[in-house]
This record gives sequence, C-alpha cells and structure tokens, in this order.
Amino acid sequence: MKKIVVLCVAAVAFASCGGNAEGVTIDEQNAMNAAYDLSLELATAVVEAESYEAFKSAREALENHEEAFREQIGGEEYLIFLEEANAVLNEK
Amino acid sequence: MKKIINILALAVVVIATTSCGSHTGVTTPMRDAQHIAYLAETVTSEAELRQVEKLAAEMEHTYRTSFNGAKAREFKRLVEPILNEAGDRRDMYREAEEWLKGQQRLLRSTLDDLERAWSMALGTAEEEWAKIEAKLAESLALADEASEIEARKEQLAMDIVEAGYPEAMLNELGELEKAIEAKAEQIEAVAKEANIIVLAWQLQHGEDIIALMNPQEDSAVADIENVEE
Repeated sequence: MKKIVVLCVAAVAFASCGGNAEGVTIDEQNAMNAAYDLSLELATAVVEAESYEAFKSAREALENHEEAFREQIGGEEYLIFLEEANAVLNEK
Repeated sequence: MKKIINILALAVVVIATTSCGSHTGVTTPMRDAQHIAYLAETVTSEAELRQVEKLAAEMEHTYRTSFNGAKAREFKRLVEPILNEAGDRRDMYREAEEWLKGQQRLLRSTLDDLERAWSMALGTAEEEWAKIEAKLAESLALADEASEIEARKEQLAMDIVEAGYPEAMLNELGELEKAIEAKAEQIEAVAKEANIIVLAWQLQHGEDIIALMNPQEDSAVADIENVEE
C-alpha cells in the first residue's frame, strides 16, 4: 500500500518548475535499474570531482538527470534516484 | 402584472436555493454510504477529505431532519469506517509527500554545501584553523547559554505545578522552549560553518585540516594503536 501511495505522491511531483534536463531521456522500460545505476554514477562523480570545474560539470549532470526522472518517470523510480544519490553524497 | 410575476419567481428561486442548501439529496443509507466510499477512495489530500466529510455530514443531517434518527444512525455507522480509512490514506500521502520533499531538499542543500566549499576563498591552514576554533568556541558559548535556559525551564516547570498552572507562567515556559530551540538552531548553523571550512580544505587541498593542525593527537592515537597491537 505504501508503494502505491509513494507512486501517486511522486506522480504529483511531475509538476515541473521548468528546468533544463537537456538531452536527458530516461528509458521508461528500464527506469528502476537506471535509477539505481545513474544515481550511483552521477553522485560518485560529484563526490570524486578533483576540481571546481569538474564539480560544476558533475553537479549539472546530476541535476539534469534528477529533473529528467522527475518529469519523465516520477513515482518510485524518482524517489529511489533521490535517495540513492543522497546516500552517496552524504556517505562521509 | 409582470412585476408581480418577477417578484414571485425571485421568491421561488430564493426558497429553492435555501432549501437546497439545507437538504442534500439522499436515497438509502446503504446506497449513500457506497457513494461516499466511492468518493473517499480518491482522497489524497486534506482538502479532498474535507469535501467528502462535508458531503457525509450534509447527508446525515438530511436523514436526521427529513426521515428519522434510525436512518441517520445507520448512515453514520456505515460511513464512519470509510471516512477513517480515507483519513489514514490522507495521512500516508502526506507522509510520503513530506519524505519526497525532504529528499529533494537534502539533495539541493548537499550540492549547495559542496559548491560553497569548492568556491570558498581559503587562506593559510593556520588562518582557516583559527576560524574553525573560533566557531568551536562560539558553539560552546551557545551551548552554555542553552544549558542555562534549560535549567530555568526546569525550575519554571516545577514552579508551575506548585502555582496551579497559571497561564502567564505556561506562556513563559513556551517562550523558554522556543529560546532553547533557537539556540539549538544557532549551534547547528555555527557547526555547519566550521564543517564547510573543513570540507573546503579537504576538497581544495586534498588533506584533512584537523589532522594537519593536530599532529600530536594523531601520533598519540598511532601510539595507542601500536601498543594495542
């Protein structure tokens, strides 16, 4: 039941504030795996950036994908993307 | 003649409107409860729940005034669990929404903190360490202040019981609780400032400024670890 609730609530998060998910398309059929894989990859890139420029680039990529998940997918997959990314970013 | 007809028509409209406002259409308690259940299934927000509760209340009122107490009681018995379940569902949605928003806020704030750390202009290690120590001293001072307020609050709580819970003292207790919360927030903010400096040094210089500026502690820890081995 909670999953259904989360699905519906995150579906509301479809309301986009307008953004810049340039060129990012999330494969709907594979969204769950993408949520886990991309959140780990992109958040790790942010954490392991070795320069300010690298950080800014990694941040932009992460935020673009966050917006893409929010607008295109929503639901549980979007929540997983957020949770997993936060776990990596706040690990230390 | 035309004027009289217009007045009569207006009167009919007013009466009809007044009547409609106080008597919602009903059929049978079971059928109406099923209708409420159908509407309640879609409830996800406070506003939606209120609308369904209002309709149920109007129906119950109609049963009570147009029929008899037995039908009203039967209707109420049928809709009460339905509305309770809708309320639970509303709470779950609210909780899930808060969790989602919390995760969004956490992502933004973490990235903002990292951005601040990367873009912070840093001096020498000694200069930055002095800033960190100043923040530590500030947070300790705030903690002392919070402890004093806490002690006053505990005394006041005892005085309130002895005085029989006067309103003025209860208000004062509330103010002290707010003051303690404000101190806690200040301590958190100061600690965060210190952590940002530490993070900035780590990101920009690739080293731990705490270890750098406290080598004796590090070697003491290493000595202890050697002894244990």
